Amino acid sequence: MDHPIVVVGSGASGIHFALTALRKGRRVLMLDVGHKGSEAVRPSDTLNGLKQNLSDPAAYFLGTRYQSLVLPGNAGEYYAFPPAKEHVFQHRNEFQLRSNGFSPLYSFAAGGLAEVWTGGSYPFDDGDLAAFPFGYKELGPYYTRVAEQIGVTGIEDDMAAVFPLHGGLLEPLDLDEHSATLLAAYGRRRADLQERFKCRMGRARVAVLSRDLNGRKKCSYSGRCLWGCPNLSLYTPSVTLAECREFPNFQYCAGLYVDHFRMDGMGKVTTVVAHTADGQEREFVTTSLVLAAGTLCSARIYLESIYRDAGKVEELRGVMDNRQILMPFVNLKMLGKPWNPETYQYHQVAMSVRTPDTGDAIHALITTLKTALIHPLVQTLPFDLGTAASAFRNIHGALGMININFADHPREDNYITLDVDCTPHKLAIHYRPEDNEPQRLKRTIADFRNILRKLGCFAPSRTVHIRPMGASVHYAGTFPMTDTAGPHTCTKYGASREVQNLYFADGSTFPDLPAKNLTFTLMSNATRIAEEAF
Amino acid sequence: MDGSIFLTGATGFLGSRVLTRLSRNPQRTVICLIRGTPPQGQPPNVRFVRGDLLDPAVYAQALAGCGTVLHLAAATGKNAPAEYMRVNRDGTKALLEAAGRAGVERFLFVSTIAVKFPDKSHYYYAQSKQLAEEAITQSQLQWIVVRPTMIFGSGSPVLQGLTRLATLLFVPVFGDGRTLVQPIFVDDLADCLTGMCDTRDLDRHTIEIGGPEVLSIENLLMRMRPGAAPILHLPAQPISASLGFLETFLGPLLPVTAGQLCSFTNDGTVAANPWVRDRQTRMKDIDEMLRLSQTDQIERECRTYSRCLIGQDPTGYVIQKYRNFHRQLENDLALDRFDRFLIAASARSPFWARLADSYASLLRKNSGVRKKLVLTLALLECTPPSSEALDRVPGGGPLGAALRLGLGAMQYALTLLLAAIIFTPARLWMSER
Repeated sequence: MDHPIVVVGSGASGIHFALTALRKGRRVLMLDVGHKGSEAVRPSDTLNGLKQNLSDPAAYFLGTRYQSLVLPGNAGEYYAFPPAKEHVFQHRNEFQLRSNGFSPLYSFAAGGLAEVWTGGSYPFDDGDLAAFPFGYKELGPYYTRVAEQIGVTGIEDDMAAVFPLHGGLLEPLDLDEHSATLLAAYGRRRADLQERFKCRMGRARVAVLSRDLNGRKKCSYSGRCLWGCPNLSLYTPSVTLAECREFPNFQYCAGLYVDHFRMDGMGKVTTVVAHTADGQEREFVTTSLVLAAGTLCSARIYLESIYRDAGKVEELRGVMDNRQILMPFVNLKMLGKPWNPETYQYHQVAMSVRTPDTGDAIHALITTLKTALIHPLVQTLPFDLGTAASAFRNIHGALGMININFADHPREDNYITLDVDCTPHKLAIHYRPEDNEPQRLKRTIADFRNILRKLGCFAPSRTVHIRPMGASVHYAGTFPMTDTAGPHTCTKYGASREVQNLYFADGSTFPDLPAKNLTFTLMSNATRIAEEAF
Repeated sequence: MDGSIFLTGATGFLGSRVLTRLSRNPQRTVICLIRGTPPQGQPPNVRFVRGDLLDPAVYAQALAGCGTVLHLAAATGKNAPAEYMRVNRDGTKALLEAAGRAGVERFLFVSTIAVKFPDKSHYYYAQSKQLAEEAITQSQLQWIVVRPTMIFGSGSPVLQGLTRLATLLFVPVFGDGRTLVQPIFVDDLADCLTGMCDTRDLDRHTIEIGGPEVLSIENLLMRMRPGAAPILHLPAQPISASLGFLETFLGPLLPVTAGQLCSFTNDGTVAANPWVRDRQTRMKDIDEMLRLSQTDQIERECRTYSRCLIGQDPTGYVIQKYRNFHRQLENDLALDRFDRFLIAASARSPFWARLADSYASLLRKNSGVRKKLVLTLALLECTPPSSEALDRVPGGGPLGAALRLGLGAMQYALTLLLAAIIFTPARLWMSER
């Protein structure tokens, strides 16, 4: 009997690769560390219902060790990470790294990093795909297929100029009052905003169900999005993992950390070596190995394998990530107005701005803050906390946050390699932003503050937070798909040019990184690779 | 007579203890009118109706099945005169009329000993309670009016106010200090109120209830203080008059109100009553009351910070979690000497908490007092009723919000100035040593 395709990782890329291969009748063995969270508590409760009904609500919202409490002095982000999602960043000791100019996040969870995504599903257009060996025409059908699979909401509005209209879109979710106010303000200032800032606004595309689909229930507006959608209306890869497990030709082995693969004398992958939690080694024979463990973990497996095989320490050049800026703002029109906690909590409005200097599209998502924990924000107000707490009640309904995403491009001096002078070997990341980045960020911040002013909002400059590189978790570019051969590149089907039978199906394959959230493209591209190459 | 009881104020300092006692009898249904969220873990014979006293339509139906109304809810502490009248006078009248219409037989009203103070000129709370009493005693229902003296116990607002005075460097005594007081322990009072629900002997009587010991206010303050201390006698009348004037503008900023000073100038003792006298022998004496009322530093911090942040006491759950954090992670707070000084100062009262935190907000951002306030805020936002208080939008739209923000900023600037004057020398002195 044939050996199966071995897929490493159950994240957005791996799971959509697997689903497509399974549907084509291929045998798939998925190797995964697969940390799991606990079941959703009291799934029919709203957020305020949870506060009322849980016996220890502080343990749920702040954690039993108060790990989600943001105290003065360690406040970096505006959101406290919810304890219910902690398993997503639970470490494995075998995976060590050191980094320079980069603060990476990585996950060993079943479903990967997209278990904590905010659902933004933005197709790349031909401009975004300019450096890819294919255009939107080739990728578009896969966007449709994934949208039909996971459920993505969206409509045709001004953003259609930057978000191609693929098929399978569901009607949008109910809009909260604050988001509606912002879109109405944009409607009034559209011409001016488009002319001065090349700014477009419209409804976000999100992977949340506005109607029941494939056995999943539509969004119940419980207001619990930030703590993990209790009824899977917000798509996460673990939904598809459960679906894959229904296939008889699928085998899922959790608890396994893939360390390296072995090759024969011809440079062809023969087996994959993984460790169990108690350090036992297991080896799996494969016909094809698909690395979909995420750019960092896939790089680690590749580098370790090459080092073991040939004693060579390789450098994977061109690693990329989206720089992000968080800009809290106050919508003056919404001051003192009541707000509804029982609404969708992540972004409902998307924005695109094109910079005159690079021509890059800047992609921004606007979240109106409603049920996020307030203590991280209240302490940033320029008052004592008593005054700040009562001031916050006046501005709560008026608060919003723009998450501004910048494109990144491959540069030679940004690379990942393996530090073999220690045990276990460490992944070493070297990253330096472009020299002119500070000026670019400064100009963009000024532009966005002006745009917000035109929308009737005020963004205090002292609260603007430039997130460190790595915080967006949109890593890419270590094995770019190219038409022409080059070191550490792969074909448009994700096939490695150095190692036979080795495929990449995750962000490693992106030759360029547009500003848009890449997750939806990860799923679609992995689907394309499985469909066309297997 | 229907044994069901309609209770107001059931989540308060006294009411929560009364509810515990009433609900011990499983045959008796207790229906509580509350404004916020029902407290957790109540037995099945307790029901909650959410609504406002002044909105009888909401609770009329619940009243219909009840034989007795036990009315404890009141506006207390620092409020505008109009608010006292609205809640205590008008609210009581609304409840009284609704009870009459619903066929309720008895109406038990908890008033205050201050109603009989000869001078209540700035004591709007006492004035409003007097007007409520008048409405009740003129009604056709079987009524009992209860006038307790100052109530002590863990979380007692009056005790906290007096403790603040008693622990100052000099103990300020307004007036000659010979005014008499007769504090009662909260659990003893709750026992009496529960007992009154089951007896008809007191119907149509006004009952004054106090503890077993009568003493002077100066003596009381001295017994509250751990060591000897110099006493500073201050003239009561001019202070009371100026406070009365200043309250109009600076209400929330002042540490005491003119009304609260009335206890220093009016005897707060009870008239003899055999029903009460019988029970006084079993009540706690002053030392026992003070011992039982003592809250440790951690609980005091949590209570003060909660009142500073939302103007409400924290629930037992919040205090327990606050304590639990300190047990687990106090070392993470990395407190130095000045931090500890700021924390000790801040725990005195919400006003001092605001003062210490104003200083910290600008000049010591990562100080312990600020961390503890943020911890309290985080706990308060996790659970009702405090989470609801934090979410409540004051109303008035953008203009109202802008005005309140402006006022808040001004108040902050004033507090900051005062805080800088007080704490900067202390910090310099501590850093030199």
